[in-house]
Amino acid sequence: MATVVESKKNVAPDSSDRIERASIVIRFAGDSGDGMQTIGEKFSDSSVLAGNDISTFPDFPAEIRAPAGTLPGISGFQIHFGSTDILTPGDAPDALVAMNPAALKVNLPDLIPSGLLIVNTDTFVPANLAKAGYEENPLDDPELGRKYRLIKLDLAQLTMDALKESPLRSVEKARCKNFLALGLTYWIYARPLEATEKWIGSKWGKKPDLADAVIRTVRAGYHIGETTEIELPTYRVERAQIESGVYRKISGNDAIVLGIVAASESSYRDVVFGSYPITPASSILEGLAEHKNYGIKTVQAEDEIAAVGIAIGASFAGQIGITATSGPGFALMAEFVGLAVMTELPLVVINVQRAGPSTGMPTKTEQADLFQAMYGRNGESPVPVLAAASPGDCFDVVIEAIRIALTYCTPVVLLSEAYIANGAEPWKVPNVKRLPKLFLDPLPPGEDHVIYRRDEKTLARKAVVPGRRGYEHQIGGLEKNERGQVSYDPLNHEKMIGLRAEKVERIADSYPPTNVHGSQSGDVLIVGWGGTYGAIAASIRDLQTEGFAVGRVHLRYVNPLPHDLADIFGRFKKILVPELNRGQLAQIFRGKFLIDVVSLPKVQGRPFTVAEISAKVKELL
Amino acid sequence: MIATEDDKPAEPKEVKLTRRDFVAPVDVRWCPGCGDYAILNTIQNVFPTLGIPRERFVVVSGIGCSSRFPYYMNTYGFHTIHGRAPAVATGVKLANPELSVWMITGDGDGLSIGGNHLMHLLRRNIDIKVLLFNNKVYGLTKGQYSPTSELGFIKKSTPYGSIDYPINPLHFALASQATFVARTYDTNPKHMTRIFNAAAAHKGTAFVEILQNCVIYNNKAWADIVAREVRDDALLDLRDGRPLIYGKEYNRAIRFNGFTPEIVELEEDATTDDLPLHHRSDSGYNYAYALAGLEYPAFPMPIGVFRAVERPTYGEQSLLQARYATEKRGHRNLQSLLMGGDYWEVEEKDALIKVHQDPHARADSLADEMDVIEERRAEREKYISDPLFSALATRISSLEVTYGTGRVISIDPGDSVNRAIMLLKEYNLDCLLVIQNKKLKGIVTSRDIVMKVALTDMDREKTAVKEIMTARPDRAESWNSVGDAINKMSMGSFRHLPVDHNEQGYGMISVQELLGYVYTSVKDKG
Repeated sequence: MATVVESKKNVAPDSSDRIERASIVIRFAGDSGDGMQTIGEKFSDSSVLAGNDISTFPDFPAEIRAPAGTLPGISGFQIHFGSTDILTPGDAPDALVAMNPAALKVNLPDLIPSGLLIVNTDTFVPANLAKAGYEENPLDDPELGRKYRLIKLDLAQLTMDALKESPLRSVEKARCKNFLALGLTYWIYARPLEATEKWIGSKWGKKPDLADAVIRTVRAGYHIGETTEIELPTYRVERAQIESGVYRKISGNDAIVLGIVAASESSYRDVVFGSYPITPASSILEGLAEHKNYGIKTVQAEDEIAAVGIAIGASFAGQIGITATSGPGFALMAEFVGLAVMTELPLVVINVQRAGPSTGMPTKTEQADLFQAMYGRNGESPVPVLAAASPGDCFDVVIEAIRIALTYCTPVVLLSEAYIANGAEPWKVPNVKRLPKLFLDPLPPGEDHVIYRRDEKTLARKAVVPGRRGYEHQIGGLEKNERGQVSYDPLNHEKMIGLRAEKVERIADSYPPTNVHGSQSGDVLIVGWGGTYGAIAASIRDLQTEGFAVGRVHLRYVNPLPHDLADIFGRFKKILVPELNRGQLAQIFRGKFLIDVVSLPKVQGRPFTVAEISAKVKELL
Repeated sequence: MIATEDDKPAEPKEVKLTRRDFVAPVDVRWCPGCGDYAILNTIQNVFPTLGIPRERFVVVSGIGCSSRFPYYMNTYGFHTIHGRAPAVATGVKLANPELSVWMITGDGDGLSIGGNHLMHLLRRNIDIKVLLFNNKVYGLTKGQYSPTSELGFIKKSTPYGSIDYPINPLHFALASQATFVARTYDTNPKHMTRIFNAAAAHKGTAFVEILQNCVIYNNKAWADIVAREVRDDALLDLRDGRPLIYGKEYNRAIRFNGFTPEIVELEEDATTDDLPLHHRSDSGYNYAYALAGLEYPAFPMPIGVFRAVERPTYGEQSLLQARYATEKRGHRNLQSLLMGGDYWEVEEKDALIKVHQDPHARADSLADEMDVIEERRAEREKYISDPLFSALATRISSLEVTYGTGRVISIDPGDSVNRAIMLLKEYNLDCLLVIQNKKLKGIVTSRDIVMKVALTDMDREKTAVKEIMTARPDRAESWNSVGDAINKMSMGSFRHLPVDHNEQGYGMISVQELLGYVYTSVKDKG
């Protein structure tokens, strides 16, 4: 049965006294075992239910439980919520919740001047201070209280007080303290409690004592303003102007999972998904494994080589072969992607990029695998490359990648990023009746099958799958002539290479026109791809408000590039390309268009801030 | 002492295939005299007899001389990349379980670069037939040592001799929990035929090592074992339920003292009673592992089926999980899946937000997917209603109504051979069950009489049935399907199969009865 909870505008009392803000950025920071991701998620859920637009940025270490209290073990969750269109998780937090000295040390430099600083004091003991590298207790420095709106709370004690009557052991009680912090922030920002309480009830339903304790803790945090002497600032953020429809919160990897299921339905083909666990792509495998009732077959392969090989085998047998990985796994797949190029089989390889090279920084974001996607194979081996711009965009892009793979009989690389994969935003749920139709007619009965005979328009070959009588044939990695016979003829090789390249180029014929946002011509055009979307869009919005003639293009299709791009470039004096790499797309532009685009590189494992992009644009103006 | 008798599975009427159907219209480009020719030839002879339409065969290979195989087979084929054929074959089989997938690999492709994939293919028990051509050398790269080359092997990359210890392919397969492990060799088409048939009949991954000669880079690779002059003494052909006897004079046998093998010289009139019998369905690994460890010249090299056990295949389990997921989560409804567990609805700007925590409540009004569901369901129904499929899936116990247990006549192991002959004659039977204390001890067929009794000077009155019976026969359980029974019979080359009804004793089913049932039910429904 559906439960309908009606949440009205003013959830918390005293709303008229609250400070009104258009948007707020808050960051929760603590040890990686402190439950920061959990309360961050809950705060996000609660914010969408309060009618705000949101964007989130979970930032956690690769170690599951790094030594407690140390700087590398700090896990953070940043959320930006507001009454306007929220495009990024925010440059700098307006508020910081720090659970221990290390969290304070790592995150304080980011907090805006006079920002709200909530510190849990029970962890500020000499051992922890030493681990964080503090010689003296920073909370004793009166300067801290002058620079920030400082609120010191002994969360451990407050939690114990709240759970006096709970039958839980004190160790278990102590673990609830993150929820005290959560409840406190709900009060400060007027978030509704109901949905979170319901979630707690269902998550720990089998342990009623625990569920009860957690709910008590959240409520205790919520009522701190009334039950203690502490004076708390309170804020109000109006509901965002959101177009009507059905919404849910979605992360990039979840959107990929749903997009794959949807594409399977609308192509009438089952999906075989081979994958090997790797951060930050694993949750795609985990998500798809749940949907076996949708004809999704998942295999956790022995390595990435087998993962992509299984997908190719499935494509040969007529289903949709898909794999997902990150840079190091993608490197292992290179030879098989080449085989799919040669045999012209549909295949989708999703690379959720992370900071490299080698193992690099597995949980941090980067866009440095573009060259790898474009060129990382032996021989002349062109593949289409698509990039997702935001968590919700992942849904549409993976469907588009599957459309291209099936229509053109080609492997397609879809680039996502840790930032998009883990980040979440509200997503307008599409009506399944309006999803693209991906059904392709098989070769008509009786028609002659020539393995590499091509469609006149797309140059795609018509694949016939095993099981169909009278069409038995062999494919493989050796060069073939049109009839599919092994051929070492020099001119045939050159011709086939040309055809495979031309086929990929013609994919651009199927693109919609490229949109320019902001000024349609003028001084600076920002061209972005992938997860830089939010920061670029926010920057252009700000700069336009300031009256500058700037525009932006965000590329979903990185290879082949849209036909109309050269024309758009011609309308602006300068082209700026911000990328989380050393200028890979910029270099492709220079090679293809012979123009001196300006590269804005960043390789810190973190996304761009809006300010960084705006500053660069102003420098060019 | 290479046996040649084979029971071949039936051919469905509508598909009359011959060897010619499987010969691709291209020139075969292996070196003259290469062992691969004989293997190719044998496969082209075996495939038309398996009762599988040609379009359902898929031959998948990696890279190497043997991996050119798919180009020479007029079936669907995929020549993939070095060492990775197991991955592609897995994808093919998973995508379409109705295909008969055969994987061709070599000692370098399968055990060196592809060792990891091969291990995982075997442990997953995916229904794929693996033929590993072992010539102990890299041929296509023009002569380097391989993972099966013996220590000290001198080649271009090992001018002072190889210092790698070779791997035994069968040990590799057994340690990877292969459910079917066999060995044959390239110069004996009859033996290869028997082994390929058994592999084809096995449900699960079948691993077959083929000892193969490379005329150019490792000529006479196996000549000291498989050459016609020596092979009777150098090879031990494993037959299920029979002692491990070998030798030109059929006068030597292998016996295990604990895990230590020993050779037994059989005296002229010695009884073979106390010799252990080969039992390939032993669910443990130790016996097969010990057998696979027998190496020439200290021992004869065993060939034949080392291990054949049943275990649910990856495909079956994957199907069951899909069914379970459907039971648990319901039929597909994409709209509700997209909405997820928690969603909210904005009706118009600035209005109330309704929060839903149950996706199903709103799903129907947004999109009706019943047509899609119906289509998929009809597709499945069509598959299930396929007469051949349903005939093969029928339980044997339901057949017993027609071919009742009443016809089963049993005899005591101590009874005389004469009595056996009398019973066979009197009831016009081919076969008797040998039962003692309600336990099945063996089986006596008219064939045993012909082979072991007729035209000998055996005292038929004094000789007990147990002397001539086939001891510890394979059997079916009453819940086995017709397909299972046909599998067992073709793997063991049996014409009769005892059916174990647990407390209710034993029944019996013959190959004629099974095939007759399949034929009539397909004919009736088709």
